[in-house]
Amino acid sequence: MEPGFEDEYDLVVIGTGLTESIVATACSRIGKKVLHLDPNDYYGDLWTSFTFPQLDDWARRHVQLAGGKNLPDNGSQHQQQQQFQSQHNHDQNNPSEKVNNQTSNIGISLSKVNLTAGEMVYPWESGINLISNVEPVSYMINEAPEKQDLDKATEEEEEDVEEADDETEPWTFEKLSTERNWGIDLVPRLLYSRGAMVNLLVSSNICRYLSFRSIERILSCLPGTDELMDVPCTRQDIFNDSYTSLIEKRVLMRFIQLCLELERRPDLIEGFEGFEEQPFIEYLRSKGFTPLLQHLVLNSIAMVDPTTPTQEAMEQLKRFVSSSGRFGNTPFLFPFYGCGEIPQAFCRLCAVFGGTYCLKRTIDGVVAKDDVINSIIVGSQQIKCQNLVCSLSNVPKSLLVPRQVTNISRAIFISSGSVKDSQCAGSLLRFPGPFPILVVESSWASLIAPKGIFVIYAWCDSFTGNAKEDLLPIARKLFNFESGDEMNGKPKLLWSCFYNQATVDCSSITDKYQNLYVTSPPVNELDYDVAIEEAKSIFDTLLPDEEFLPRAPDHDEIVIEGTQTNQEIDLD
Amino acid sequence: MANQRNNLNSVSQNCESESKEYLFKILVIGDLATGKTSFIRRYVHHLFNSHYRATIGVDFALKVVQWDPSTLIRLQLWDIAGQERFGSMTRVYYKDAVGALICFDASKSQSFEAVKKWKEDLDTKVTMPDGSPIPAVLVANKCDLPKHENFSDPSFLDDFCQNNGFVGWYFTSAKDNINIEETASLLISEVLGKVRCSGKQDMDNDCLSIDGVSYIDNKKAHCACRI
Ligand SMILES: Cc1cc2nc3c(=O)[nH]c(=O)nc-3n(C[C@H](O)[C@H](O)[C@H](O)COP(=O)(O)OP(=O)(O)OC[C@H]3O[C@@H](n4cnc5c(N)ncnc54)[C@H](O)[C@@H]3O)c2cc1C
Ligand SMILES: Nc1nc2c(ncn2[C@@H]2O[C@H](COP(=O)(O)OP(=O)(O)OP(=O)(O)O)[C@@H](O)[C@H]2O)c(=O)[nH]1
Ligand SMILES: [Mg+2]
Repeated sequence: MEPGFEDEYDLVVIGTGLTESIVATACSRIGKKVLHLDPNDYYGDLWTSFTFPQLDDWARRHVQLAGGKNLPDNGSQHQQQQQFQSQHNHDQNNPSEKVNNQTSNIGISLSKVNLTAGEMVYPWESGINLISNVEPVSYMINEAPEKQDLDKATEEEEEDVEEADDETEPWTFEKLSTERNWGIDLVPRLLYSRGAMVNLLVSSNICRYLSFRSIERILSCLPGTDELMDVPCTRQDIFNDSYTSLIEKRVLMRFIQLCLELERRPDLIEGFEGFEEQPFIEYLRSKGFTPLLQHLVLNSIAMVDPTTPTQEAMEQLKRFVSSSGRFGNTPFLFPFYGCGEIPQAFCRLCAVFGGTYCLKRTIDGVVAKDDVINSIIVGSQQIKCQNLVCSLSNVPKSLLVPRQVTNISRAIFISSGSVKDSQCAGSLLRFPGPFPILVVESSWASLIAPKGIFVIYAWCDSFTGNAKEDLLPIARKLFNFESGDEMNGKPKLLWSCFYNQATVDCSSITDKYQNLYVTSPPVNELDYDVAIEEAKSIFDTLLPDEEFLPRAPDHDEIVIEGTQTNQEIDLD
Repeated sequence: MANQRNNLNSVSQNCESESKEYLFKILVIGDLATGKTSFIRRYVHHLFNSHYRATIGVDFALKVVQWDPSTLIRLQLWDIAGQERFGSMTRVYYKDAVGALICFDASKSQSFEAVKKWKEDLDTKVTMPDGSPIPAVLVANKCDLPKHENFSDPSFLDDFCQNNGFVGWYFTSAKDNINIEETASLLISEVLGKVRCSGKQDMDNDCLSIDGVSYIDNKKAHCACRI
């Protein structure tokens, strides 16, 4: 039995990425009727968290989409490349292939569409592919097939009995695939503990669906070396730090005090000691910062370029310092189960307020008169709607005006150890340069991977146009690629995937329909400020007089119709 | 509320009276119109009407059960929110659940066909902390109506439960209040058995919440947070 949708919605949203989900939830929350669809069989679009098999599938699907060509790998990966191709082959009848095979036929026969004067039906095709240059590689040694079969049954039993065994037993592709506790992000983020996303989650009470782990440490790669040092983030850290001299410690302490002062006195930033428009590096030099201190403050704390104007850099520092000390040593939080939980938390609230959800579904056409969409067609149903919000990849190409696209290079690394000796760290690391690279390390302790496994993400604005070229040098600094050579102290890389993700500001990407709003793909940012800003701006345009995500009541604040509890408010 | 969330599935022990309190998140799933909402209304609010307006803004219904003199259980019954009913539930819905009721309409054959799918879906999306499946009871609802012939032989459902990992089943009626308490009791006792033998779930110590409370004192490296 195929349940039908209702005949009319205030808002129809296509794509369950973060921006669309925030818009959907904000509208549902204040009483609008929302239908939220996604052609994928998972929530979150590019903002999703995958299991390892899902990620591997996703990667291979994109390789196929791009013509299945594999760039030649260097010799050391020969064995793995073979493995990769053999999987590739028996993947022909992979069920998830169907997901992207949307039919462009309109399911309803045209005579059945109700058209009033001037209305026309337009088919709705899926839009542009934002992902390119996908290169998944497995570095795991696979056992001989016969041995594998024999061992399989016992191996699985043992897994449950004794987890400690995992560390001695080498990880294989099969073993990673059978593990269930994964949450690997395509678009990883960290949350400033007093940043825009945390504030929104708290003020809307959507935080009740989420929990976080604090990022324990900020690492810095010492210039000219592969050596990673812990950036001191607290007074204690500074005292204990072995890299900085006594004088450096004193300079750093005084500087942090100043940053804390800025929080209380924002006016200090304006006209900042005459340096406001000067490059930040000039300011640091003038204050006697040694090269090491300059490096730490610029790259790891302010996370700006040396040429960034001092005023802007100080704003960044303020942001860092004001989020510090709230939960842990660093200002950053990472969600349990991965960042993909965040759009889902919004969707859950949207559903709780009456929003209708359906995955593996998108619209097949729209009925429009001039530049207004009056209804949409989903399967055999025609549904009236006031507004339509779509993520970029769900808008037909033909509706888009040409735009300069920004390409982000991304990489996901799965390893059996931390980039710097730790059993379970979450870390942030930034490599400076004209195209700075951000690295986020998350581990099984955030319930995003099986015990002992680390997932490390790297990304930057692309400067070569190819993710692998952009990020491979960093990978070589962080990981041990060759299986024989385990003496260099770096963690063993098990699997990696490079890919490029395009992004573009979609605020005026189409002028075809006045009630069609297009949300932008994820941009290169650490927290979620840009996505929230965009969602809020769409909401404010749709409903200028409504409050954006007012606090949702908790369970004990709601009365159930027909019961006698009186401490509660009836929301109906 | 914040308190309850932080102690989800956990035991708080009161030393003086030896009494224990548990919080269990229970999922109520099954096909459209099989009586999930009616079951919850009957069990929690002692009500039945043949149609209600959907209650907006609620995640779950809460029922407090004094299980035995020293055990208090707070049951959160999570209905399929308004309209995630097309089978597209978020992970948020499944997260931290320790038990499930899977409903079908015993007066028709149709909704029973989906039961296996619901069970498989459940088992892939949530497990007990030790990795075992969460206890699930099969609810053959609307037994006040004439039963479909498939279900006239009870051994059929017995076998079905055995083969598909259900801890048991009941013919229930939300309308006539038949076996509602019994169904809930069976599930509670199964969940209690699992939780007691696995001991306290320690994930919550590892978990920070961000609902405006700042745990500035709690600076140990492994602590996690709810904002
Ligand atoms: C590289 C680096 C080095 C740093 N070094 C230092 C350093 O050496 N010293 C330093 O102080 N900061 C340092 N910081 C900043 C530090 O991480 C925090 O920003 C700072 O500790 C925040 O605390 P606060 O007391 O200044 O301000 P707030 O968090 O606003 O607190 C204000 C006051 O209230 C108290 N308070 C707040 N909440 C609680 C609570 N729940 N329980 C009890 N008391 C509470 C605080 O102790 C403080 O006295 C450093 C940051 C960086 C990046
Ligand atoms: N005769 C009879 N009718 C019932 C019983 N339980 C529920 N119903 C009726 O079945 C219909 C659906 O019940 P709901 O409780 O809304 O079912 P649901 O599973 O919550 O449905 P959705 O939320 O739409 O998926 C309603 O008309 C109920 O009155 C029962 O035990 N006996
Ligand atoms: Mg219902």
